[in-house]
Amino acid sequence: MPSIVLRITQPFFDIGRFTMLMSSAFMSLREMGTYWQNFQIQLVRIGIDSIPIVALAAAFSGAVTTVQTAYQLVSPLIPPRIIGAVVVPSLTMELGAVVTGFILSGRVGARIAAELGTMRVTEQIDALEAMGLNSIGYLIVPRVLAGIVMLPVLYVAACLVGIVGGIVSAELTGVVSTGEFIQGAREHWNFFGPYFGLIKAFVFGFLITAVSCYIGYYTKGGADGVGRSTTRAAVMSCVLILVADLILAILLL
Amino acid sequence: MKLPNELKIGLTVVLAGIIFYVGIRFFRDLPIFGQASVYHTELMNSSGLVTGNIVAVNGVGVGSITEVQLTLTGAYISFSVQDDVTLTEGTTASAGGFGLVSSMQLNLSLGPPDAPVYVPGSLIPSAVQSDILTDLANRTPAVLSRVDTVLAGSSQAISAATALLAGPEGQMQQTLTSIRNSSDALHAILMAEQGSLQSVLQGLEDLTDTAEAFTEDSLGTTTAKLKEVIAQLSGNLDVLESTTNELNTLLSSINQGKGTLGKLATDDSLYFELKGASAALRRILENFEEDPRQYLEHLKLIDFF
Repeated sequence: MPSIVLRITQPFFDIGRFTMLMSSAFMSLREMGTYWQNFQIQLVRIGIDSIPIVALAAAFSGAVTTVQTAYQLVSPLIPPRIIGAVVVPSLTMELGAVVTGFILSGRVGARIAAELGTMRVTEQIDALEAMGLNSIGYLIVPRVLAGIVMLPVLYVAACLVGIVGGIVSAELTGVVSTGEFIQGAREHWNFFGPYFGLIKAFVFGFLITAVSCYIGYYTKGGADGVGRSTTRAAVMSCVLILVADLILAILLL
Repeated sequence: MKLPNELKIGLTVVLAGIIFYVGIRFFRDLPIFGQASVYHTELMNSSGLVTGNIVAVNGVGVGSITEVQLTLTGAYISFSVQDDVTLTEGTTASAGGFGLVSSMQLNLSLGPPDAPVYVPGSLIPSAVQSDILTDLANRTPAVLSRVDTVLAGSSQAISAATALLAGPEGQMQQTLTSIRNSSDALHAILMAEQGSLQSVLQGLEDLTDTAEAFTEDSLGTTTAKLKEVIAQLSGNLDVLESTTNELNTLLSSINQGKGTLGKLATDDSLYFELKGASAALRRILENFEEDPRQYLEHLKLIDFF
């Protein structure tokens, strides 16, 4: 086929191959007992090892959001507690999930793509297949499941640390007291906000790990191919997070 | 100590679950470990209430709205209230909050404390709803109508005034001409009668001087006499005051039972003895008049005579 046609059809080809890969992974769930140990390792690597960097990013997100909200909104006509009413829903509905997703795209997505890409170019995956192991079940399913399970956990941690960071920065800069901050958050509390953020975290967890696994699993070339796969996994994860964020907001809000 | 992966994962997941649960309860202003009772109310207009809005009693948050449903007659609202808040019969619910910088909230006006208690799940009646925006919306047509009326009246008045001023033979022109004629006539009269007016004014001035002199002399004499009278009156008042004081002292002594008069005034036995003595004396005198010899025969001086 001409190259132009290949370029046009490439996205559809990728979507089809991605769907088949995930179908195979879903079919491999019945073998999950075999890969339980690997699943635990991925839970620790994707989830627990990411808590410090996610907490750091969330704390600064909360603090910056608070200061900027105070800078933009507070006036004699607007009470300071509005800062809490803006910062807390921003964290629970948007920043908590998206910041966590971006952090994990770079940290986890790139690592997964590099691991699987290296295994592909060094023919370790072929060796697994030759030994009769289900490479998809062994390599992809634990990572994707770990991402789906741990992203919501990281989201909760990010929200907690972000809100605390916002309160601390509000107190330090003197723009609003802790009591007013919490009062404003309570007055404008959106019942669905945390659940919406949780749903986002599930989706982002799936997207980051699944796309990274897909890109790494089908890496071509040598070290250069691994490098490209790593970069592509991080970029694609971030782009898909943004797209999914918009789609979820349209669908659920 | 190296923790096993299972323990680390389990602790992290459980901790995240607890934080999520506690955080939601905290920001919904619900008791973290206690129970909350769910009640319902039906409002004709929910005024933008949504799930999660605060339920307040006297401005204090006591729960949150859990569900808002559209009905044929209004909005059916379910809300949770902390268990330590007792809703008695007579409690009413209404949507509150301005909605501009603060969110809407469901306000509960509690019934009498001694009234029967609503059980959880009860339907709390709604109060007559009235918020600022609704009031403004209701009053706006009437206000606009009045403004229109006033503007129309003002326009008519301005038109009439303009016509009055603009018309060359209008009433305003006639009035101004009449005023000018009157002014000219008055001026002519003043010029003609200037001499007479001057003599009248001179006479009036002389009369004023005479009255002034007379007033000064008479007033001086009268004032001096009045001063003398006041001085005498002041002396008499001093004497009267001292006499009154002495009389007060005497009366107080009598009231306290001092002296004969005091005893007479305060001691009843003396009065009765005096009355008895008077009666006995009267009897002796009557007896003496009837038979004087009975008394005179004992007097030796009478025998002398």
